[in-house]
Amino acid sequence: MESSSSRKVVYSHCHYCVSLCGTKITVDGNKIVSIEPDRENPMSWRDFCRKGKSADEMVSHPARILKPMKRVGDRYEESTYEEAYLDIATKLNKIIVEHGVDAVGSYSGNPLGFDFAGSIFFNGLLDAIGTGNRFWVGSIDQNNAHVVQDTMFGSELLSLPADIDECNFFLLLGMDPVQSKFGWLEVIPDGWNRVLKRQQQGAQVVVVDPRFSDTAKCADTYLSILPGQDWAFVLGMLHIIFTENLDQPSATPLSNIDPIREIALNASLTDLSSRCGIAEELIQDVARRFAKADRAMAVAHTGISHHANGTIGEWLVTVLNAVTNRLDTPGGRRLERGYMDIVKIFSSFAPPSTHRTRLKNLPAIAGYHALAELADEITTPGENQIKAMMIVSGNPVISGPDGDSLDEALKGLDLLVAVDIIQRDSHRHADWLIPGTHFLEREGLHCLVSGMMDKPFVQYANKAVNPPPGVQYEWEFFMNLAIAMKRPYLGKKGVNSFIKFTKLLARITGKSHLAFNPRWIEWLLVTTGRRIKYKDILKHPHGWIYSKKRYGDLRTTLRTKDNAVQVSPPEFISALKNLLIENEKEDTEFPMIMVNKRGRESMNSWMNDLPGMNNTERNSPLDIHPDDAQALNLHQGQIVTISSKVSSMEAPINIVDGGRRGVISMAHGWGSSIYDPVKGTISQGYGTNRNRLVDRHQLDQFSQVPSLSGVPVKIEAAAHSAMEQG
Amino acid sequence: MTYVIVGNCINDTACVDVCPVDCIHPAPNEIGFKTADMLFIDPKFCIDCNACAEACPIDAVMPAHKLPKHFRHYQAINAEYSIARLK
Amino acid sequence: MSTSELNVAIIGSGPAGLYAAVELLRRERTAVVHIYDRLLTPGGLVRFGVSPDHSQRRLISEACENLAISSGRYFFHGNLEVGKDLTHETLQHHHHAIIYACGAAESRQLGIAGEKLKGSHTASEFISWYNGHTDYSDCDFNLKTHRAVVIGNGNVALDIARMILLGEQRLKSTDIADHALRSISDSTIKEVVILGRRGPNQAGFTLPEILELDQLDDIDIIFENADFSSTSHKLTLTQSMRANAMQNYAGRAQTERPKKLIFRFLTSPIQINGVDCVDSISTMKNYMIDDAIRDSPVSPSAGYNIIKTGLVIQAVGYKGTRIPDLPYDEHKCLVPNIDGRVIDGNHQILEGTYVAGWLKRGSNGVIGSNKFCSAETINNLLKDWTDNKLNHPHSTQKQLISHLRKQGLKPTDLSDWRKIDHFEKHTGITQKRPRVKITSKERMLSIAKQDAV
Repeated sequence: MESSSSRKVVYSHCHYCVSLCGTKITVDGNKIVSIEPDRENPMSWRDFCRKGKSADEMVSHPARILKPMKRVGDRYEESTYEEAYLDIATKLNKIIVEHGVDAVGSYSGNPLGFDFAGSIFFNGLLDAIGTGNRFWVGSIDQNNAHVVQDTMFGSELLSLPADIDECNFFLLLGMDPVQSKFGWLEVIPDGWNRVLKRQQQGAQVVVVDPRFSDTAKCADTYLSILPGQDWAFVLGMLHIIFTENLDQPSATPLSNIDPIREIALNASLTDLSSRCGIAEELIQDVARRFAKADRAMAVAHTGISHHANGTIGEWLVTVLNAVTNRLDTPGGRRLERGYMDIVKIFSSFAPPSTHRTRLKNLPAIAGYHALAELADEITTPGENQIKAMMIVSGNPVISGPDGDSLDEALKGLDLLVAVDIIQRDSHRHADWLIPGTHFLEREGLHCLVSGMMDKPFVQYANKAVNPPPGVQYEWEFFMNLAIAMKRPYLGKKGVNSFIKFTKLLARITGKSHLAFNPRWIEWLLVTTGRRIKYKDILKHPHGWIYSKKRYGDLRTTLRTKDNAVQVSPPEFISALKNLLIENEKEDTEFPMIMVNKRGRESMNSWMNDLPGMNNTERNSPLDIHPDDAQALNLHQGQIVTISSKVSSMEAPINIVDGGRRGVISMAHGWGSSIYDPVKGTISQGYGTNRNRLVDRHQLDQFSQVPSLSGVPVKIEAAAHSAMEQG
Repeated sequence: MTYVIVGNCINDTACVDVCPVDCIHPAPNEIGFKTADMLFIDPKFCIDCNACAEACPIDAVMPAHKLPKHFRHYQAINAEYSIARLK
Repeated sequence: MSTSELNVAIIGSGPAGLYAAVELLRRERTAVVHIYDRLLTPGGLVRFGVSPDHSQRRLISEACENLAISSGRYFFHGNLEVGKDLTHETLQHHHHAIIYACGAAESRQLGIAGEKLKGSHTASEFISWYNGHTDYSDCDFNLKTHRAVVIGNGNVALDIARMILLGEQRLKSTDIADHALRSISDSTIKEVVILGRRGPNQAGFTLPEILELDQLDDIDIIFENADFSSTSHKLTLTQSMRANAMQNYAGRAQTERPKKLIFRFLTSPIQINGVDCVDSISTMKNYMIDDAIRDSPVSPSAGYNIIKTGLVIQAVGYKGTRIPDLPYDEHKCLVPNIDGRVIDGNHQILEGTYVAGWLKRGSNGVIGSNKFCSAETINNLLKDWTDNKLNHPHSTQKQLISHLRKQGLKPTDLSDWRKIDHFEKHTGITQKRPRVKITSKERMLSIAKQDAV
């Protein structure tokens, strides 16, 4: 047993989700003894959960990729970084010469977004290659928000965190913060408990969701809406607000209100009510209460984005906030300017991509294309067809729509490089497996979240343990690969020589920090932000609330031409007009709608297998209304077959009362296997992957997000269920 | 605030398995588990995450403010055990 | 028959059996579980032992069942009694392994004179009766007496005492059997005496059971011969919390409430008196000699007493169910085993044969204790499966069921139980009760025969 003197405590925060819970990590040598919430963190820790507590199980995962692994026939062989750089660089260069830069595609998963250095340096590599074929997880998540922010505020990265502690009326659409925590494109630690606290002090909570979620159970008013029809509900609210002159002058300049006002005034409440499945009186009541509340906010999350009309929904929610003066006012959706001007820096540092996809000619959103398009971009022959892929910290075969097609596509690639901690379904055809690092092994400042905080807060994430011997950081891998490919890093000439020079300098002087590294970028961003000092951040190991929150910064941050919020973007207006003349066709073959649900201890497609997660829903059941179960003669726990027009699969049912008939819900991210490249074994994942049922061709025209939460399905008793006994 | 285990507890320990801060005692690997009449939540460490309440197969865990009248004394009982345990 | 499939029979669907099923299905994805029960209703003592006023605890069997069912590899076979309808050998022919989890159905008795008199009963009779066990619906208890005496100092004794005293108001919203509700409503019993050989510190009541007595505002709680200092060994934490709670009751000023619950410690019953029916019980005062161990002997001394009563119930523990063709430990009243593997008289392991629950460890612990008890058994079973030490069944389980049908037996399945369950719950809703139990097997069979509603 090692002596307790080798023990030390490291303060940092969890990087699994945007709650960014402060953590107190006890370390013995290079081993983690325990991970606890850091109760001295002034901002976050109260959302601490099993994911953070079990994080060390991922670090010491038995199937972890510890060395670059090279595919030889059907198996993998241990290799070296030198060989990996040489082989990958040679192959990529050959593909680029033969097929052009767009033949190299990439996919960035969610965990990469929490690795500031990794994501910046990966983009540096992609810039060096010059490819526009970049795909990411945002296209199955929050792209609608980026589109709305871009169109209305002039920047894809301008999100407005909810100002919970001042709010008296919460209108929450398509979100289940009891399970998911409050954050999405915002960091609101302990957000849900803070809502409950406001509720105890008299605030109203209205929850709109087709599912009688745990959040809905706590609501003062719960509205059970038809999936995907939130836009009709919010338009109904706008109808009442404009008809009854309940709109209020906005503290942030608004431009061009009239077109949406006109549509809302002319819309028929009866029609909207039948579209969203919520009675006219209820729409009326919530509209009046919302508009008359002195301080209120409307917030919409994935329940809105995962639909064909998710962008229109998010836009109308923002309009609702705008015309009732909830933008950047107390208790509304506040702009946190952060310690650096994200919007300004990124618009000059990384100008929006003008690249369009080859087949559908769709633009990039926040610099990335939609995962839904990836499979076809790989399999459809022609100029600029994707021949090589780099998948970093992602498992799109499981997280994305119709993963079977993507799996088939990945199989046909000339080169697939996966950078990850574990080999999972999306990596099973990989030619190279490059070890990833875990956040417990990294340090750094996540500058990108500075403007997403609901308070001016910053914390430098300290490293708890070193990566396994010989494992390079992702950022090193990306930088070295660009150099090995002899392509100008960051797409700028001279950078490679500069990097080489700093490395040489570091070697000569023996001072490793002199070699070009991510700290340089962090320091630069903080220093040019001129609000706080980098060294002061380091003085606050538990994190630092560096100033008071303030209101009114949105007007000066807007990057629209007239410096006002664009209330009626013409493309949204015409899409809305079309929606209003369209009539929902009843789907007789697939009469039920499958929506998403979130489990507290599940984080998309990974970690579900960790022993410490003890997830009670590991069989990923399908929640169904008791009346639907009875009509189909199904009993609790019965295994059923769920089919969509794309695919079918089996899962046990869980009968849950209180939601909407005809709506079933199932968590995504399950059914992913773990592959051990050393032993060559596969351990089958828990549960079933419901995203296989999602149509990858039916996308929101603006956000390009597939209808992950609005899948028409049918349900039948599975052939071999327990019923057949005897 | 804190969560509280009430007298219905049958020592199923599903709550212990899911607690992120290990504040439910006695855990199966701790002294006293075999002879424990029920399990208790240490209010000093509970972070109100609701995981235990969700996991409990018989709904024997609830937030302190939602305790029905006949179980209200269990808040003090949970606290009493937790303090005495460390002595 | 697929050879990679692990086919396991579990006998008894009480908490030990259900926890074993869940653990097995969770750990081994090729496992198929066939659970056999003598009754049509799963749950064992969760259904027939847990007090009606604690029915929240019954949710555990539903929770386990749901987990097991959602695997798609769980099958319930009711109305089949091992030893009568099915032999150990037959089971071996159809399963890789058999886990006996049939608990301890039979009450222990002190063996004192007068036990056979009318009005003298065992705990299991009384509890099974008020919980609507189909075998006990015809029982008759003398509740038209002033005083009842319950012998024993565990939760079972306290449950019985409480049930007798609770009264119609409190009981009518529970899932107590209708016949018991009627009898207890008409009861004239005003006083229940709980006799314990030893002192309050040595008693087996759990803390929650003691604490909930506080809710009984029409009952005086009286402690006699309660010496809270009489212990030299260190009480466990919950024991000392329990002692504090009991002392609180003991220290209360006497009120004149309509009913009395008397805890009389240091008192042993000597004989039950009466001609045809019980009319009193003779007791004797004890002194603790050595209180250092829980199982300390007590020494009889002078201090005879006679308590007038028309109802005596012995709640002094249970005996493990005897399984034909299986060894039995007469002293410990359980099936001899090493961590769940059944052993014979020569300490040889009987391959493919396991026990779990009370039959394995004796009648102790709370419901959750079975989780760990069963997990240990499953762990060993899976080890033996890996080491290829299980039975080699030569026909399928389906063949077994059709064979039994041919013999005229009427095994029931999950869908039958589901109909019964639905019926009971549905009736419960109309009466604002968790469920209304069906107490006759024929009625159950006829409901099971109806088409699903």
